[in-house]
Amino acid sequence: MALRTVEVGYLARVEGEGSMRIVLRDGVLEEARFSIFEAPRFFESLLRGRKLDEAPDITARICGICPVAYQTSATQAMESALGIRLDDRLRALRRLMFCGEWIESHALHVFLLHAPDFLGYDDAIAMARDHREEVERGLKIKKIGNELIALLGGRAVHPINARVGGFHSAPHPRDLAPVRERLAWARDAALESVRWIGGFELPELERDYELVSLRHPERYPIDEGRLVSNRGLDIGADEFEAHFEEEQVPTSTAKHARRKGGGAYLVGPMARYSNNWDRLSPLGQQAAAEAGLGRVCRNPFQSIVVRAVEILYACEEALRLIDSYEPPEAPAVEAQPRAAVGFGWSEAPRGVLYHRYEVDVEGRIVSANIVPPTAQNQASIEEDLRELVLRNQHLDDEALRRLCEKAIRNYDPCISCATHFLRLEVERR
Amino acid sequence: MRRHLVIGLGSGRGDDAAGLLVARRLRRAGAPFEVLEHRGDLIGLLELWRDRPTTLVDAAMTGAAEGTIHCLDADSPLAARLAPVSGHAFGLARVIELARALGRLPPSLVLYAIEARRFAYGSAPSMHVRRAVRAVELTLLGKMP
Repeated sequence: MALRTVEVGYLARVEGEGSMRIVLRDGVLEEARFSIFEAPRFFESLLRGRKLDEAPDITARICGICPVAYQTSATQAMESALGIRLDDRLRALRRLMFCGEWIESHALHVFLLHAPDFLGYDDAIAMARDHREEVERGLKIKKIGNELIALLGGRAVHPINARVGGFHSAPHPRDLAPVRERLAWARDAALESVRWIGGFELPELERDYELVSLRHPERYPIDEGRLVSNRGLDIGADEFEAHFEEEQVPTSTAKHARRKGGGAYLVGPMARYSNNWDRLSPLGQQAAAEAGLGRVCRNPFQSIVVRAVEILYACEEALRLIDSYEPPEAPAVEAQPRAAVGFGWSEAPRGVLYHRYEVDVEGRIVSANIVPPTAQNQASIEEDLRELVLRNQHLDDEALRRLCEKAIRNYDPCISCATHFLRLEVERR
Repeated sequence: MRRHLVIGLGSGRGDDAAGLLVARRLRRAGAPFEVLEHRGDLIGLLELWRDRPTTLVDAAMTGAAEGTIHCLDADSPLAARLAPVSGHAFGLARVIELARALGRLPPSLVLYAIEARRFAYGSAPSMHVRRAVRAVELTLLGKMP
């Protein structure tokens, strides 16, 4: 077939970009800046005046990779405003769908976006030529996560079955059988993957983070819990804004979150793992130990190993939830609107996702506040970069760029995270 | 040779619906090949096309006039011609190149890309894009058995 060579600048569905700027003057680091210049999206403003039951579907549109987290935080915030709490069966169903999101999101990041950094490839395409088996395994694990979301949510991306009070419809137990079989395969494949990833050589970097995550009395935190840290934080969702604040910075269209009276903190897999190692399954703990993880992680490059462990856990947890599944008596709890403020949060794959809504007596949203994980991690990303550059300024620009890109991808930041998302400027004066 | 497959890609946002509209028109016209619509995660394409000769239709932005129809085939690498702008998910060019690296490209793969301009929620595709949709439909109906 004749080939017409056409320059296609880019296809539709752009998600945004980030950049980094490093300035070294006579060996002294003047600037290590991670900037997000994706246009502001004003979701909190456009929610005003909308009905409260629209929030889950509207906020799910913030992200195509973690829409279940947005739906979960939004529904839980609205349920707290309405004064309702779901029974165990409905909460189990919500957690099951969330497991699908952890599996697909982590698999995408681990196998296709981050692993190439550790194996010396420019991207997953180059890596796939030499590591076909592992890439195929990652794609298959990811697909099973997508299938689980589609089964419970109606479709894999931006699911439509979640609602305030539960679901529009609940599956029959026999509907879960096919995906259960595939999840059993995924659990074994995930275990194999932890071993593979545990063999990666990790750059040295230990930092004294404040590790912030949810913690649940019984389970590894996914969909609910209190917010804790390794420095004594222990709060409910209604206390979040008393302890954390967001600020505008000139170089970013995303806000930076900080601890009030404190500084940067870390959310995401490493914080979750470190605060909840004792909530992992025995198999998860064993796999983590075999992959070289201690009970607490402070090297940000270990995050890829933790994600692999969390894929394993999510597969196990999904299997447990399917095996104990009993259809709820009704797919949703109904409630009348009332004027109130509601708070909700969940552990998105990248970390804590907080929502707060004020609703009026007719159930219309008066104000909204959404604090995503990437906003919370921006300050930590920059502190990692400073530390890394200071330790590694002997490297040439190309090696330094690669190292810094790898460090930023430790966070799986939810902007445009394709392999070449980063433009790096190094100025040596 | 297995039955030919046409996959329309896109979303409901303005001109970005171009690929989906082509797929719907082909189905309405009773196209003698299988026609699918695909939204969201493009990695799923590897499962859809498997070993069938495949044509993809999507919207694109190159700076050309609105409604311009670009036709590419995947005989040679596409990444250099399709800038990697897709964000967190894998973009189309990268999915195609990943499939090539894994040995999972279909026996033939052609991409029709319709030059798009407007991507607002709730907006209709422009007149130029609608004309291009019709032209791609007729081309595919005329070309394929």
